[in-house]
Amino acid sequence: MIGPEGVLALARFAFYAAAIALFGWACFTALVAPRALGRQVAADSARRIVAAGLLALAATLAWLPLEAATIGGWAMAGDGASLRELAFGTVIGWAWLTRLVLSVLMLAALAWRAAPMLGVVLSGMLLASLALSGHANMHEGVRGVLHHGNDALHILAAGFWLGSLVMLPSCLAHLARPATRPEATIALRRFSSAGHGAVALVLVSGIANTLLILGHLPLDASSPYQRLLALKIVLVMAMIGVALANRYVFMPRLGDDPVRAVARIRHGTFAELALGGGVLALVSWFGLLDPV
Amino acid sequence: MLKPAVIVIAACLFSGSALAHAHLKAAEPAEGARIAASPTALSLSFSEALEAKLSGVTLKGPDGKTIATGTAVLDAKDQRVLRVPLDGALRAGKYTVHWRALSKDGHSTHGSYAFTVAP
Repeated sequence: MIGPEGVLALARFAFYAAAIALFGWACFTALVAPRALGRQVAADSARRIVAAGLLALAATLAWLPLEAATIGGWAMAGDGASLRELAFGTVIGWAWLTRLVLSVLMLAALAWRAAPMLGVVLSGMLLASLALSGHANMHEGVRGVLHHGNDALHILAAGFWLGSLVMLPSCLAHLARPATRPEATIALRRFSSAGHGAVALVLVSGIANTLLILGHLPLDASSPYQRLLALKIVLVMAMIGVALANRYVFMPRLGDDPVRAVARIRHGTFAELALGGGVLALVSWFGLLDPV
Repeated sequence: MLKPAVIVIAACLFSGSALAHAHLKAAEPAEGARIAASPTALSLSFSEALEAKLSGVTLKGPDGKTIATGTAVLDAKDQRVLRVPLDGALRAGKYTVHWRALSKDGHSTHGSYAFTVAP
């Protein structure tokens, strides 16, 4: 029988995946892709992205009762008075209300086909608001502000990286068509330049986060938190390896042998996405553990 | 880009590390203590700041029955300290304090300890 913490970890995973897909979609269609390609990709993926918005909202709705269940058992998950206390009387409750409002606004923006930049802002805020409810709450004062800021930066940089990878297969499909090839090439170049910055930010903010939470490197194998964090770092390193191969081995071959190069980049992208899914699963789980 | 990171790293190297989950550090009356006079309040010090609304204690008397207490409040100066006023004097015997604590990051912990009133 799966306990409340296991179900909460699943809801967290669903939320991370949905919010990252939303952010990646918004960034790609509004910022990375040239205008015509951005519009076309947005139209092609409209249904899937509404599904991601609905998943983000559903995972958010499930989050509070599940959080309550980890505190006071399943009985508390259905107790209105306790849920109200949790929602309106605690720091994590206010963070949850923020996410609830932002996921509704994001869905509304998708439904009414609002300006793409609004989607970037809303989905970015939705991702960054995760920093309000995590381990960053362990510090107060200046250190708390720095920790929250660093956490938000880490989530946004990682969200851009992983979220753009979700959009990459459709970009590669356009790369294979002569009509859309020039714009898809521009989008791929832009993603790859911005990707360098995002990966660097992920690394620096990740190191700072580890030091802020643990105070040292995760080397104590007897701590479940440290074991899972170390495994996450290994997966991220593997992602960086694949990303470097894509960028510096296969992208330069696009001119000579585009069909094979695109196929290789697509395989690499799926490998990075699988590793990224593993990273999200780990974060969903060890974020609930005592960071000792 | 590097400068804020250096500040962040420096900030955490030069201050003590914290645990995100609330662990009981000390209590008054202390765990296992034998005290002569009935306390007027229980005081529990945790490793982390708590959420007042979802933290609290249940006090059980020598006969195992729950004893009514005042509402648990956080210390005005230190949110890591939970104070529970006692309504009446405790008679002689062994008392068990069952506590639950919700830290600011949403993690809940619980535990218990006992003390003895022996006038």
